[in-house]
Amino acid sequence: MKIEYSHFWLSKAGNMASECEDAFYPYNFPFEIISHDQKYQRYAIADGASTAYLSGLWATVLVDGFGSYDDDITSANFFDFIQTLIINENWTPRLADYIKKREHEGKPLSWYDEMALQNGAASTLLEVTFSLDEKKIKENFSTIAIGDSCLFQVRNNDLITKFPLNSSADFDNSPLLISSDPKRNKHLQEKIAFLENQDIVIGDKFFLMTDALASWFFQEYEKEGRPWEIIGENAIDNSSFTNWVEQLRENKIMRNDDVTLMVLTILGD
Amino acid sequence: MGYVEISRSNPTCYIFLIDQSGSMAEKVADDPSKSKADKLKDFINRFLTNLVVTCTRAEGVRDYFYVSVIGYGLNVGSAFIGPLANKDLVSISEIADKPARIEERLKEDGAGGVVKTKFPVWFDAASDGQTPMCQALNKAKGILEGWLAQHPDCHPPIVVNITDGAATDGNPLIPAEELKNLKSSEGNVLLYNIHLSSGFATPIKFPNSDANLPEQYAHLLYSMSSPLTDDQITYANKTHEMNIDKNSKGFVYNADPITVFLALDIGTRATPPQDTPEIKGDTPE
Repeated sequence: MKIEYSHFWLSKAGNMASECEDAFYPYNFPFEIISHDQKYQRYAIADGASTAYLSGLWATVLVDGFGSYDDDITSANFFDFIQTLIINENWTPRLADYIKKREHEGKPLSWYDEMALQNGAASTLLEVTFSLDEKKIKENFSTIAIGDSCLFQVRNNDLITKFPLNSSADFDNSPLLISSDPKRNKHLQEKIAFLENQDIVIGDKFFLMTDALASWFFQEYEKEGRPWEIIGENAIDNSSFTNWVEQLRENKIMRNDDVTLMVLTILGD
Repeated sequence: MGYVEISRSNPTCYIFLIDQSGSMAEKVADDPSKSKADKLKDFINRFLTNLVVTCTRAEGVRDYFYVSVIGYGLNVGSAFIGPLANKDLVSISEIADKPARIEERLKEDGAGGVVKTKFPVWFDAASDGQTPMCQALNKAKGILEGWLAQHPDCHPPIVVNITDGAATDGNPLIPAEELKNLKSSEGNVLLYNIHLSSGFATPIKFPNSDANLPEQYAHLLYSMSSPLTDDQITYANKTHEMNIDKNSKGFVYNADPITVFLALDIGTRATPPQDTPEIKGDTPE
């Protein structure tokens, strides 16, 4: 089996596209480039917290770090992984580059940038892992989530997996977030959601989405609708996706927020 | 009902009315090295610092808020000093870029040690003259009339009056009512009152009735105060583990420093951009 995928995103109305603090991985589509000895094929989205400093950059570091990692990520090594690979090897140099760039542009960090940095950046994370064998995906997947970015698995026009939230009532204004400051992640220890060894078959579709769209998805489903069909009709290209989301926002059906959607389809070889 | 989201295209404003009368020179009970005016100065400067940091993004400080700090004592007017002196209402980005000075202070690092931290200052302690609270309330009314004409759909502006004594220029209930009658399409202006303690009296926090208030003056401040919003009550009960009822007012009486901090944190909680993490400000020193 192999995976075809597409992604769509739109920044919050009133914000510039460059201010979008969502991130996704990978960037090559419709098929990810897979090397011969690769163990895993990973997809990730993240929603940078809107009030924390540099959260868009942190969200990007998270999806890049998780998405490109080709070894096991488990509940046992999760925090070590965050500390060594994400923070030490990726975040810290990216931050140093950002500070240098600011100095180079004649806009060195001010007192408030420094204080905001001390608070740390923060983001949700949703990552899906497919195991590979000779560049072909095996018949199961696992997923990790922190916060309210959601995964839905649809088979034969039925929703068979919703993760990590279960209903529209589960959303609130303070989702779990991973911080770039390890001290602020201690409370996450028991709260990271893992789902392992879930089966997949040809034709399955996976929808990964950030909270505003996920909340809409649940509400449609709770009205006995089939939100995946509505997505299929509207997420054709970026233009159709943008028009559709803008309409939902205008009609107050969807909250105004950055939106990211990734659609994965399991195909035969 | 929730209020409209605060955004750069639809900002709101906070006005702080700061009692700077002679009695503010009295020392606070739990820290004899500082006067009430000193403590209040630290609170408001720290509040402004936290508000700036909350609005800071990679591209700069977003103008979600405009802030006024009005002192009332010997004079009634802007309490800002330095580059912002005499300005009544200032955007949060201008506040960020124009503190009068930046002090260095020591702060606990959470591991038993201390670290240096920057402490920007926009106004200094003052304590002289009487308590012209009515004039201060009228000043706030004038500022808000102009603001609301330009921002008719904003989150209701929030006025926080912090005082240790009774008005000396009339009955403040009248200008307070006039102030609270101003409104945007989202609702009436919110007026909250923080009464500072001079001793060790037990603070009364966010009462929902005036039945147990100790004296006439407390009844007056209670009458002047607006109810807390649903967002603020939810925030207080969740984050500060309080048990505030739906009809509770934005009023604290005999407030010690911790209670002032609590009242400022809860009273200035406005509908933020969605999906915000809890970023708590520093606790008082």
